[in-house]
Amino acid sequence: MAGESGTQRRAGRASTRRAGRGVALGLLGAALATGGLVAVAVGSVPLPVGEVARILAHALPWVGAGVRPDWSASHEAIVLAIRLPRVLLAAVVGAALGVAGGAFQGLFRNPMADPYVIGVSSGAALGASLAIAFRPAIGLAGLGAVPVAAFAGAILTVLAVYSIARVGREVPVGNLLLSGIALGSLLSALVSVVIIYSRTSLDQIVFWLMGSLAGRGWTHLGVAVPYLVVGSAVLLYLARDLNALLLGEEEAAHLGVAVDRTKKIILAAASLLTAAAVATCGIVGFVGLVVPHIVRLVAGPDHRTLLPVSALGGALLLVVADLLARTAVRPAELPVGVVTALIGAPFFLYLLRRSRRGGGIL
Amino acid sequence: MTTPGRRPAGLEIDKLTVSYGDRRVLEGVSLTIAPGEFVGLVGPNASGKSTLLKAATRVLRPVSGRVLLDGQDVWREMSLGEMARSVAVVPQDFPVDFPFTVRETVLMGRTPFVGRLRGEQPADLARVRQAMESTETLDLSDRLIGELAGGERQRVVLAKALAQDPRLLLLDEPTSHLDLSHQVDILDLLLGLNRGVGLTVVIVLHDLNLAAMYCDRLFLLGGGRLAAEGSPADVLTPANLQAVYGSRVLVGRHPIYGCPQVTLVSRRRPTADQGDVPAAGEASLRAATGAAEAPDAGGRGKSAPARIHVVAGGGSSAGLLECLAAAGHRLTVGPVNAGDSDWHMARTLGVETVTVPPFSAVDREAVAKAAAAMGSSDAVLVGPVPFGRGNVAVLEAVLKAARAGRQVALVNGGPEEVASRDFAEGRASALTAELLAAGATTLSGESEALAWAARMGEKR
Repeated sequence: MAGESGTQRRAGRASTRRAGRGVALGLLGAALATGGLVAVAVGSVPLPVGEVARILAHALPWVGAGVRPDWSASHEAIVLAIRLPRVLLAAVVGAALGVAGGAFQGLFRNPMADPYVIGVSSGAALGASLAIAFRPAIGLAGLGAVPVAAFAGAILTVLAVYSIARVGREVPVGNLLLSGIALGSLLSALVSVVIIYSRTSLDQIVFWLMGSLAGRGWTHLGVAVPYLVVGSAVLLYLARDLNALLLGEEEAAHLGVAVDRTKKIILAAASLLTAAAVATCGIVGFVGLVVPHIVRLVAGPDHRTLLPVSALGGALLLVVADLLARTAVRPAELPVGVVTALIGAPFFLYLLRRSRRGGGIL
Repeated sequence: MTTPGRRPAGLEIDKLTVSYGDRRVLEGVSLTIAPGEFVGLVGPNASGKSTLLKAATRVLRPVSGRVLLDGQDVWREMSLGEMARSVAVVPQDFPVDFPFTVRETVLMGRTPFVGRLRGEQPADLARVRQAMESTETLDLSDRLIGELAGGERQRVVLAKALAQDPRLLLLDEPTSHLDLSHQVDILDLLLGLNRGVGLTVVIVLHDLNLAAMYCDRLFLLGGGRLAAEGSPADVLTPANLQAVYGSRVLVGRHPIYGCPQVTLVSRRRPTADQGDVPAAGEASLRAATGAAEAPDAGGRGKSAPARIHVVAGGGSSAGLLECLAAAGHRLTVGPVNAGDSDWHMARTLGVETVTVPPFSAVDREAVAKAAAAMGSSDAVLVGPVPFGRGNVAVLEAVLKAARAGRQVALVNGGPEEVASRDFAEGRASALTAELLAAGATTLSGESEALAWAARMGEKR
């Protein structure tokens, strides 16, 4: 009896997985579109979803000509100038964190890896908290000091971790992991020092550390999107190599993968992706850890499926989380990282319990 | 498994030297493997077998030397992709940390052939199916790789390698974690592929007996150098194995295939069936070292073999027999009880033996046969045998032979030593004294016995 159901479960696995990719992409795409629409409609000024849809359609080239504007200019401004860029940014950053998390977990062959594993977050945190505390008059591409400093901090940290971990021409992943953790602890301690010595900026720094999309607009989106798109595209292109790397570096080499070069490209792409995400939104936790996990449970570990589905899953999670972050305790706003953890952790634990009998979380 | 038109590849290793940091693990190793051969790399741990495989598959860059695949330098003239389209590797351990199904795992063997953005084509899937059929893993398709038992998993890893459509298959101890029947399964499968389509197979094996059974040729590595190469019978000799492994082994024949089979010998365990026989194990160990150091040990091309009759029994003389046989002397043995470890050794060595039934006294007929054997020998050697009423008659035969002018030597034949194993109420001691008086010599151990035997050979 037990054996029979086991066989059925197994027989189901391949078909689920084969169908999984298309179905998951379709369902998640639809859910993301709906969630995005709702997220734009909901807010301090509630707007009818239909009107939002028409405003958005009108803003599109070609299609837009067919839609007759019958809404107020202020509604259009709320949709197009305030809510749409924020929702889009949430989607893009969520997608980036999902892809980067999946890629880091694959590269490190470690399910506990997340986009911040090699120090991106702590570097960005130090950069951002210094910028918040000392308010330097720097800025780039229309962005203020905080995202610029956060991005710089993230990239510098990754470079430092990389050069510490490097042995000759090789970069052993174990070394990367350890030096990432060690340097991360050091930088976090420095962030605490900054916080202690600049009480006035405490709230702001803490809010940034927990991740927030408040007040982000088209400028942020415009600056971050190229990194996010290019980084994701590179990682998706290397999905096959990531699969081979999951079998170990020697095995990957036997399958024709140029291991060292590929590792470096994956590291660079995933780090840039994460740095851009963190610079614009602060440290949004949990998305990059949990989304690839959940996707792996449903669709298997093949990165050619895992990465695109994680992108959509991450996007959806962050859009919904940001919607809750700005509406749950109105007029105040929760840091979105708090919400992702509040939604993500219980769901993840539920899946963990359920899948334990089915052959492990991984 | 090789598709038509996929010619098996040959591999040539040319003066390959590889280091880990400052430590040399391979030192100028050269070997040639012809297309379609089934060869084994054997040798102790850290002898460089796996390192050789790593350097040959571009995992580890050699300090110097070349690796040629069908004449092409794999490090200088081939890309990793080209390599992967010709050479597949079955590793010792295969990670199962991520939940790939069996089919997904095998499909990964197609990686070198599949375009990044195109995905697998029907031809790839057909190839995967074929690889799974030949390894009998089709039924496992939807299982997770981590759920499989060792033997199943290794078949899947082999299927993955075969899906890679290799012209050369390299395996690094693929059977080391498997139980007996699965070891045979995997090797039978490989042999079928090799004989069927001529796939070149190079396999690192820990188990010398499996290597002898399956491989056409063996390369024996020791300390980073090639110690021997050739047919299993040429390579797996006691002298070669002793030199490389530093431990004593017996080499017998496989009862069915006739290939060499290696039996281990303990350094500690007394060789006697009875516990009260003096430290025969220690003596054997000393002798083994002596034999390994002796010039021409191994028996091939020995200049002066002697015909020696050995009086053995009670497990006292197994080491002695082995040393003498290894040194090339022609032996007869007896009388010994069937089942005695001396008897086993004599049989393993293929020595003519006067046998009496287990646990019974030596009868007249056996003594007569032994005396006849002594008569046609150059010399008689008496091992440190415990004598009782059942077998002391043999000493009388030895004394007769000595008086007839036969050279006689006794191992550990001093009065006290003999007294300690005289269970025949002093009869053995008395006979020994007479033997010594008649010109017999006493030898202190197996290395002296070897030297004595060599003198006997020269006298002929």
